[in-house]
Amino acid sequence: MSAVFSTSSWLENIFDITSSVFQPPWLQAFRTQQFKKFRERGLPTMQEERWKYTPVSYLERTNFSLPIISNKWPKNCLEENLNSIILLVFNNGHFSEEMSDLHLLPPEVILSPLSAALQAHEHLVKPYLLQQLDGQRHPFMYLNSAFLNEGIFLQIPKNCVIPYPIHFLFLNINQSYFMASPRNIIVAHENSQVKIIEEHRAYQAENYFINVVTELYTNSNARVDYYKLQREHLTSTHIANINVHQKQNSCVNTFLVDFGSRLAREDLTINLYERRATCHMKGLYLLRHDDQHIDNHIYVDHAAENCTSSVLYKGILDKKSQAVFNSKVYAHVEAKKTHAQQTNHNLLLSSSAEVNTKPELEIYTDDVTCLHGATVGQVNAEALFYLRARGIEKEAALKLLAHAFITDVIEKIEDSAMKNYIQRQVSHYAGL
Amino acid sequence: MLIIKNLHASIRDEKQKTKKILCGIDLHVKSGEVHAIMGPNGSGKSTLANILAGQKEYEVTQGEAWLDGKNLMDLEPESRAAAGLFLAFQYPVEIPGVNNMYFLKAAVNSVRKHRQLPPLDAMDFLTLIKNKMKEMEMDEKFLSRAVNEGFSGGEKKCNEILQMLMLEPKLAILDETDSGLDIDALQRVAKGVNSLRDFKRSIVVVTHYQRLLNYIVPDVVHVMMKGKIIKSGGKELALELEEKGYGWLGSTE
Amino acid sequence: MTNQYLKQIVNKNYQYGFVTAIESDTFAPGLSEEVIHHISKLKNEPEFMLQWRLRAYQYWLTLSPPRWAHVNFPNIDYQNIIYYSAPRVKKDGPASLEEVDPKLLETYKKLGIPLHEQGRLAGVAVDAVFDSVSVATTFKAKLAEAGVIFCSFSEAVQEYPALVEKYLGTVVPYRDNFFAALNSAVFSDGSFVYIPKGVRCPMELSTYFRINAANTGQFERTLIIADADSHVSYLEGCTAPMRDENQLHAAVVELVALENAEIKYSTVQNWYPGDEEGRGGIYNFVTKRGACRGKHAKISWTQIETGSAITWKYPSVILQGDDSIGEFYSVALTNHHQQADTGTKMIHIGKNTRSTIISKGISAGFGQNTYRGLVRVLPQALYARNYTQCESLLLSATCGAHTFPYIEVKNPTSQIEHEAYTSKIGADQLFYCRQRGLSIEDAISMIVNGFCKRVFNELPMEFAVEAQKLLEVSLEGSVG
Repeated sequence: MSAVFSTSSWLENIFDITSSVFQPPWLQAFRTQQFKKFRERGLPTMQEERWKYTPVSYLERTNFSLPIISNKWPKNCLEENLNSIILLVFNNGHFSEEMSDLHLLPPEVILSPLSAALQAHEHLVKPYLLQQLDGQRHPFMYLNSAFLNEGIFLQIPKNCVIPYPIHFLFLNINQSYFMASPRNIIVAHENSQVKIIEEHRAYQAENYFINVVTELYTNSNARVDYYKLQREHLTSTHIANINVHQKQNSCVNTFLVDFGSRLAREDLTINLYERRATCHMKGLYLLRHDDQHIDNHIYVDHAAENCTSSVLYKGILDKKSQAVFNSKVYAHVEAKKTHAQQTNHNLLLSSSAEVNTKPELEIYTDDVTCLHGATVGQVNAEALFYLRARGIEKEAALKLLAHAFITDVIEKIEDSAMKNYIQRQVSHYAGL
Repeated sequence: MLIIKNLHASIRDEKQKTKKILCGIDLHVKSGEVHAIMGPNGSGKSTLANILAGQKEYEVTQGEAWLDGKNLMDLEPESRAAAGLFLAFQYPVEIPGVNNMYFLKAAVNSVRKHRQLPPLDAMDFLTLIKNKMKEMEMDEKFLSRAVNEGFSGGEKKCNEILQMLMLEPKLAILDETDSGLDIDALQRVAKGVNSLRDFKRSIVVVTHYQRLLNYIVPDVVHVMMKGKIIKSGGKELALELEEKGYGWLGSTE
Repeated sequence: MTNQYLKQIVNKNYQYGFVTAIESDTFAPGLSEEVIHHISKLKNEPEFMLQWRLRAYQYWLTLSPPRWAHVNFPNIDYQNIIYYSAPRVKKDGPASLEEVDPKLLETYKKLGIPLHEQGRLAGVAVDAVFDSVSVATTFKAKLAEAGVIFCSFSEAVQEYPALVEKYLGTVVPYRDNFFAALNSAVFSDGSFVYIPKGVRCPMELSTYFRINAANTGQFERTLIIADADSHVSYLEGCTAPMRDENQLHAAVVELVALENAEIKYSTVQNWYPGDEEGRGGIYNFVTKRGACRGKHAKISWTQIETGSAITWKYPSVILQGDDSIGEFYSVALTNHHQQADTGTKMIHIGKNTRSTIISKGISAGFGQNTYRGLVRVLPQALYARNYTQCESLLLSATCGAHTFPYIEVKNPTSQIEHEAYTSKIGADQLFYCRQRGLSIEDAISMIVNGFCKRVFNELPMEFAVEAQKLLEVSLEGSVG
């Protein structure tokens, strides 16, 4: 492993600045250790199977600074939001109390920015922060740990059902060439229920780098619906690790929508530790611009019996864009009666778009039913002709068919407010 | 022929909880008789049929079942088949890639071997099956297809009866063989079953509706509810059930 | 309970594990330039061959063994392998079948491959490769009438050096991978086929590979050229004695199909798989690739892989010609401690190219079965189509079935479909068969054969029955 960032580069400098901020000694020590591990591991290279199609070495050559709060709030930035929500707003990685709205939050729930949670509930937060993340596999998690300064801590007590969606809104405003490392920790205790949407947007911010880690702990019988909307600026880099830990009978639904960034990487790791845990993962990626690159990596670890997982991702690629999709189901010897499904469908709208897809199965037990499928193609010529024969112009007809291609995924969103919100975003920003 | 004494059975559901399905079945079917077992959904009719054939999903907790002096519970499914028990499945399974004729020939010769009969050679087998298919008004193309694969519901049921005719069982259990059949197919199925009827053979017809019993007239009709036979009678009982439904029986329990 | 039966049923009897006692000329173990000089000299090769071998060797020295496959095995000591072993012959080589050592004829008879030109395989020409050399080729005269060249590789180098020089290494260059480089340096024999323009090869061609000597690696090379508008069907079979140590088999197969030509290449691979504890067995590390060079060319691979301790092979097709077709049909069975990492690559370059992949994996015992496939559509490959179906059947709780399909598409007009399904043998199917009076072993064998049917159908008739039997033997058990 070559020691990338070995010379005292920009990274060293900003790490020193980060370290000088007041923090508990254990956190200081942890960060230093994680930083060291990151430097030993280095950035992933295209020789590594999991990074075969996604080059990230340019990050090393870019001078990123630390993010600073912007006082230029964009007009209307909250107007298009969901109604009746619990809202936490971040401005270039820093929490903004005045823009947030927690009045609908049930009092027994702990929801606060990570920095505040570290002060008010250090004993609660500490064990989650010190979780050893698999940075060998994914070095960006080391990097996140080394630089984490803010994020969200959410703890839902037993039997608590939060009726309103919680919206984490990360706004990147009027700054360029910075690196933000949010860390979100969500703990849903027994029998609790929550809907979360994590959203990333940009306003006059360019060439920045978001390296986010979201940890989701779902205890027995709990249900978490997790939505993510990524519409970063088209020059930015967005790297995300979403790690889900599930106990007995828990149910997690994830829905990832990506249409921003120049390069986006979403690593979704599901750990089904205990029996009858269920996880349904859906996703859309809609790339409409030259040189956009999205890489979705999903890893579902079936470690217990009677667990169910399903993956349904669809992507539409236009111009000179590129998509990578990889999902892997790993069924351990213990994972009897595993049901796993993976599907990935891709629609190519331009001759220079490119798809690399690989739905994998790794099965070490016999009592399983595992299905996977992948398709790559263009719009059905007959359908296109039919629409045009009925007088619809080609561009409109293409749009219609592209929309039809993804509509079944959107239709599957249970919560109607969330469905409308995502539908609106898709129409507005992806032009579908 | 078939004697069932105080048969109890249960199944474990996904949560490993035990659920009782049969709660003391007594049944005596003599040679040459046709019995109908009727009852509402979930009464345990199909379970009984499957247990007799040796389906291991169910656990027999008490009681016994004898076929011609053989204790069925001691036998593996294939030995029960060899002993002369045939189950026409409610949902015959598809076996991709396995040729229908090849399958039937293997089954017939396996059963013949148990009965200490010489195996049928290809020519004899083909002559026999073609005759039986004519009886059932089935297309010969059937033989070259894979077992039940891509068959319509009606075709599957006809295939079950064809197999029954080929295997010449002593006791045939027809599990909801009438479900999903149009009237023509129903008549063909009944014709096939009736052609097998003689003084040595017994037939148990498991059905939800009286319809099939117009064509396969039973000697005895039993009504099953909640895992028990709650009433037995002649063929008129079936008509009565058709008219009144099962409700009036439940209330007398 | 079913599991226990399955375990018994899949216990395997390996029928080909005997050793032929025969005098051989065998090199000392080890690999060096000297060894390569020696092989080349023994074969009286022209200079271009020697130089090519030496370049391959020099390149090989710079490589390290690949580790990406989903298989585990200890490091191989390449200096501890014998690179050449040939049955001793009295003069230059047998001129006709009558001159072949009767012990060798007996061996092939015992393997079910009679080398006389009548009987069961009367319609099949056989090239018999024993350890490092070809010992006999049948029906040469009859094939020559049709203009078909079918001979050992050594003979081809002597008789048709121009053809060899033109095509050797053009599909699998020695730089391709570690084992291809090794093979290019040390290969000792193999089969050579040339079908001239417009000729439909009048009979099935077949090569039968036998490893006999201990501690010896087999490195053969097959080159098949189908000139424009020609057609050939070719089959290879392989067996080896039972031995406690592992032996290496690193072959290279190159196929070239020109305009409108069709090559059908079938393999029934039954190398010694090792014993129940995983001791011994062949390491089968093979590079097979075909190039559809002309329009409408077609290459079809069919493989039945039941042997070897480890199988590592990806018979592939490069679809260069417009409208060319590539096919891959595979059954791979891993039992006991066998490991297989196999699949295919379909590289779409020409317009309207089509490929089909049907892969059936059966895992039993502690077997690990991996499908690894690549479907790549290059930007210029307009209207390419691929259909992939890979299914896995699991027969024990301790085995593994893995699927790694790579799909890389750079052209929007292509239609790519991939389906995969993994499950254990259906309990309801078993019960149904048993209710009809079939024993559990017959039921399993019937269901497994049904599972493989689509692939068996692709084999030439003479071998379809053979393959089915082989699978039955592999699934034969001691249920009393």
